[in-house]
Amino acid sequence: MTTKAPIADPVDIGKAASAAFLRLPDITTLFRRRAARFAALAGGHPMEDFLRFMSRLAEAQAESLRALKPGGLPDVEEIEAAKRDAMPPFAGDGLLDGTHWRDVLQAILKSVAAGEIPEQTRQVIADLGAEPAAVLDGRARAVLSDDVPETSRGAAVFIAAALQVRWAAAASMLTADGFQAFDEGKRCPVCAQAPLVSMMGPASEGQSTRYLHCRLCASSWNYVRIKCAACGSTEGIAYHGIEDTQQPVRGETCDTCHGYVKILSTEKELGLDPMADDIATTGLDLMLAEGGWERASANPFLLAT
Amino acid sequence: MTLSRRGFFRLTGTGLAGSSLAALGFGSGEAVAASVRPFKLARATETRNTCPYCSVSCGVILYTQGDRAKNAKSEIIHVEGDPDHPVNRGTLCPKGASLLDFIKSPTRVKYPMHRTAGSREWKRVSWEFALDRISKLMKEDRDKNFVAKNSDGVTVNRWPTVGFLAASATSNETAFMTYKVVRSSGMVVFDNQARV
Repeated sequence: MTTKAPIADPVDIGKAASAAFLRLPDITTLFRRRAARFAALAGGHPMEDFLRFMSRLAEAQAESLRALKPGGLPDVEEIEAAKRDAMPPFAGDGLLDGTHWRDVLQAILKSVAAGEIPEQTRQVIADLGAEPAAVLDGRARAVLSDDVPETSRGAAVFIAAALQVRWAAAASMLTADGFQAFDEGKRCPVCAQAPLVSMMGPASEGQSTRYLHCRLCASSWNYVRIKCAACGSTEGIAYHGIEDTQQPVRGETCDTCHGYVKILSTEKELGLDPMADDIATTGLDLMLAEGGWERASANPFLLAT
Repeated sequence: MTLSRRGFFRLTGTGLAGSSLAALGFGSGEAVAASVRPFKLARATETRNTCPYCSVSCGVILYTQGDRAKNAKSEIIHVEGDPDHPVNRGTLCPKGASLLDFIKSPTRVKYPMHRTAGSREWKRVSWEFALDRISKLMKEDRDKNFVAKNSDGVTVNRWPTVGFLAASATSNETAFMTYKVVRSSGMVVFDNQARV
């Protein structure tokens, strides 16, 4: 039998390597992997107790998916219309409607309270558990709009955890086709939130392609390398690592806006998690602050002034 | 460009003491501050460029270590394909992938070198010497071999004995200038690596 060998077309070679614009979260693994990563980073870490607590919180997020009732999403026509207009379908506070996110919150509070936790945490959980729906919705809006009062930072951790589950679960129901960049790629095309960190790789998505990772819905979208994720400038971009420029987690700093967003290289270390590795490299934030750089977006689990 | 600075903040040791960490009873974060105190930040830059080898003109990213702003010596430490470049999408051929060795090669020519006829030695010379020497030889050759009219008496203005090869990482403006200079001299043999 003879088969005619296909002639390699250089154009096809280019196509094969092109990266997907949007990667949606897989909620069946997202929070369990995160919990495992937090636990793996905790041993001997100066924030060991907090990282272990974060691991339990991520476990609680994973378990809380059982409390999440189906439904409560915009219908397909609405979502497709938003995509066509380059508008994030889950922007704003639309997903707060119904009891979905509060069911998740109560489940998270219950499972975290079952473990060993500091007295302050227990108090925060007790207070949140007793609050009426309207107050909780108000707290959720404050988290979504980056407007959490200093006295609510403890409570905001649990609110943010519940919102992440609600938004990531909703995002995982979408199809990635047809999404367009929002705010010139500086904010999430699914929910319009700021990126938590940026990540390079994995290799399966093209060599060292960079993705920004959403801090709310855990979607990732392609963003050109060597470009400030906060202001979009391509001038004066530098990479800062602790003692070594080849660290898996570095700060991508910008001379135009004096901001920075961390960049995580999956090719340098396997198992990096945007949330866990961001918190575990808080030391890098302190050093960048000393160098005069400002963090461009807050981690909802580590709000500070 | 408008940029909302909302959300921008410096995460300092003092900031950590009033952060979510403290609010949940996990201490002041002093241990984190202490853990990084002995260390310094190392700075690197990444720069887009074009592979110099062939006319495909693949995009490359040059990784440079060192702080140019502080007059320290900077050094290229890594070269890879630019994943955002539409021509090669991060890929490179074996020649392009070994560009770092090309840059660091001990035999790389970094300044004009001259070997006089009959000599075995290459000697470093000034740019002025090199340019004078090249133009003198080109003029001699052109005066000797220039063809103003062909056998039928038609004006052709050809200079067939010298060729010109221009580079790959060339802008449109450079290519335009190169073309004008080369063709107006009558040079027939001419190629440009940049065909994109």
